[in-house]
Amino acid sequence: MQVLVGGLTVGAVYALVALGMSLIFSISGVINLAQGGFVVLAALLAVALQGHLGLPLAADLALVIAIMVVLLAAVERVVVRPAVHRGNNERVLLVTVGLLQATGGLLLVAWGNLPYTMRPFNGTQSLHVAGASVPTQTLWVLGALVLAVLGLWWLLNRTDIGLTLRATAAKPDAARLMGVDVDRMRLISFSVSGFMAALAGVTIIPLTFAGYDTTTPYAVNGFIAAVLGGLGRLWGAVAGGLILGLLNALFGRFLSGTLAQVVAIGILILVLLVRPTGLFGASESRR
Amino acid sequence: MAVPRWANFLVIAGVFYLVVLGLDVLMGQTGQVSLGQTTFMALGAYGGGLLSLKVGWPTAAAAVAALAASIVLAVALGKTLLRLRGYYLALATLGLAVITQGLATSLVDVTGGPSGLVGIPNLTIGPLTFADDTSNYYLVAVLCIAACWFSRNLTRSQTGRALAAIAADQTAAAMLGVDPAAYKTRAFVLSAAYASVAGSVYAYYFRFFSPDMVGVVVAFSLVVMLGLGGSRSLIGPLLGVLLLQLIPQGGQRIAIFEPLIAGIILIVVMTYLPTGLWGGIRQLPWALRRAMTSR
Repeated sequence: MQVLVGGLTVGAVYALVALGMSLIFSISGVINLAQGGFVVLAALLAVALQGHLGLPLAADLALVIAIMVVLLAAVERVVVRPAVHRGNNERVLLVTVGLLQATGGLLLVAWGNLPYTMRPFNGTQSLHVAGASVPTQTLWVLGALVLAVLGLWWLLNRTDIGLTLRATAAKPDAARLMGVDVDRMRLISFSVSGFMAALAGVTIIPLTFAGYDTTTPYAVNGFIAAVLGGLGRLWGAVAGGLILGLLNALFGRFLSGTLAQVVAIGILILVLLVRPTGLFGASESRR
Repeated sequence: MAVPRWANFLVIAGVFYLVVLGLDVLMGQTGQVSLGQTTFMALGAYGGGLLSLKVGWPTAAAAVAALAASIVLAVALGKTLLRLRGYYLALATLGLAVITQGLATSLVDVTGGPSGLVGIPNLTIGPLTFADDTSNYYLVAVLCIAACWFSRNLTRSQTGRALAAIAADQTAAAMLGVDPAAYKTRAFVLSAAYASVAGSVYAYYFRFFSPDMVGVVVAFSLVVMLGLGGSRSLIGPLLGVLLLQLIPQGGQRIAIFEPLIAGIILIVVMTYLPTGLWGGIRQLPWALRRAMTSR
């Protein structure tokens, strides 16, 4: 049970990363590998703002979320949009790899090469549920995922912008013909994923250490989760992330950490071979 | 060919050039994104190293055995993985890269774990032992020239044209009688062979090998080197390798800015020079003419 809790926690972070990636992919066909880097950036921002400005927790979180939303919009405008207009998907993927690298580089320059962490929001006592010790911070992480999922559902299904987003995701060319500004939709999707990266970063940082070199695992695992769930399928991304986290934790119980990850990924590759478009992806008849 | 003072740097660059040339066969010529080159580098390096260190085989024979194992693995993996397309293939090969690094790290009894495999002997072919920078530089240079010759002939051959057809439109190629699965597997095997040989040479040169040398970061940087330099060419990969290897040489004072600079270079080149640095350089005459005549 303890193992499940740990797995769900990590899985929730992967799910948030995957959700951002899947959302951006469904709107624009771009896989934003830099999501992993943005999670760490959000985490370190939260630490820095709390440390240097002495902000109370709520203000700290709100500020980080606001910064990330604006930053991702700027990133889309300055980095991604020119790349999308000029190149094909492969090129844009490499651009996001460069973005991931640059984010890590920025973290190194601004925060140095030491890892950081933060005190848990509600102190260090744990709850005891069904024989497992659950740190209260875990509830924050899971709560963040629930908030993100509900917020996204509300945005997509209950607002006009959401309707436009869904239309663009379904058929970008048709949407463009109907006068939808696809660039703007992509910008919005980037901002929303910035929101999710912020949620992920600030809630997980009290439970782990983060630094300039911890970006790659989040990016890799988020990507794996997003593809596993079927690219563009938002529920799939959530499921993919949680499953990946749980698999890692379950195998970590019996094998060393690295070997557990190897087995988990091996299983995922097998899944891909059986269902080439992911667990929940649509079966594509075209290439 | 004179041996510059930076022979050590050039040996490493040469090893990576071999691997990236192999990757170009798969990505540049056949259009399949693959993060799996490190898997075969690891096989070549650990295979050759272990066979010669722990089992006592002559190094050349060990490298050939590792190459054979890589080819067998590539055939098996090719038949299964190459059914996937686009991002899904990238993901599966990314999984390979993660598994490679993971196995190299955790199978401590076999691979020496994170601290690596030490005491690998230098390569010996007949009476020649490649122990120092100079001899390894020549070895790598010869291998690279051979690889370039092979790649160039491949591009101009029927197989090369088949690969290009598959890269352009797999379904159309199939309709024209090109068997995508067979050719893709062939390309995969070829790139694995390049990587395996490069890995063996790498291990014999350093007399040491560790999981970091074939980690996920390395797998990504191989793709970056190819994209940065320009695929479907011989000079492109070389430019990419040199550029990415040169950045860390910049010196201690800018060391902290290296990842940031590397990332920004990648972003800028990929956005404004989609055919890579070499592609951009080749198009320079046309670009200049266009700039001067558009008034």
